[in-house]
Amino acid sequence: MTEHDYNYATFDMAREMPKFAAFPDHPLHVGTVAPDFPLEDLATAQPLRMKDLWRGGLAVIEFGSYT
Amino acid sequence: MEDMAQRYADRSVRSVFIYTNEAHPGETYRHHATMDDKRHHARAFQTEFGLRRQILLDDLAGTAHRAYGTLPNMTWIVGPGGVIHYRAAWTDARDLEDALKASLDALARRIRDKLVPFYSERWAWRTRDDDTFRARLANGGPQAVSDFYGKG
Repeated sequence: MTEHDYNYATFDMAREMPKFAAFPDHPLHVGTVAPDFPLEDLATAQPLRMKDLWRGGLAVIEFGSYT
Repeated sequence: MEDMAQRYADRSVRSVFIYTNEAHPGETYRHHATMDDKRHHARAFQTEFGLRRQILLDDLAGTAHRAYGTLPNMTWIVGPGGVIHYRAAWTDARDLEDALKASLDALARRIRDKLVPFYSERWAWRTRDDDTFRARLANGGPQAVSDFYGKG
């Protein structure tokens, strides 16, 4: 998937809804180890690692957007 | 979600929001062509909805978001060692808090009570609120509404 495909300009029900049906088969099940990725803090523009989120205990991570 | 984040912050629970692609782009909030677009929309979202949680961004290609399943409003709980405790295709505060309480309780008692985890699945249930959803779509602009509900 390219940046352009990920940041689609038009919502397409036929393209997006199957992602919900596929989610139970997504390999990151409970009990497996969460992958680590670099992130940017919106407030400070400082980089951080995703694994830093759960270093001190539990991390609750919500994904979402304005729209 | 904001209240829950505050209530559990002193129990070593770190609650964050990862800003993704626009699920329903429209004339007001278009798709992201640059990281500055993503930052701008994330700041608008933070202001509009009063988010106090830390907001984080992955790259423009959504590398982290895609690795976790690409759904528009999912929530995950990750524990010590990076072990995934909970994943939900949709964010529902009641379901999430139920899981969070269970994880905190188990982690606190696991040694004393000789607890071991096992895999479990279930359907979760949420209330469908079409009026709120439609209003949220309208935030993006008329196109966001018509792309979802059709031109009629």
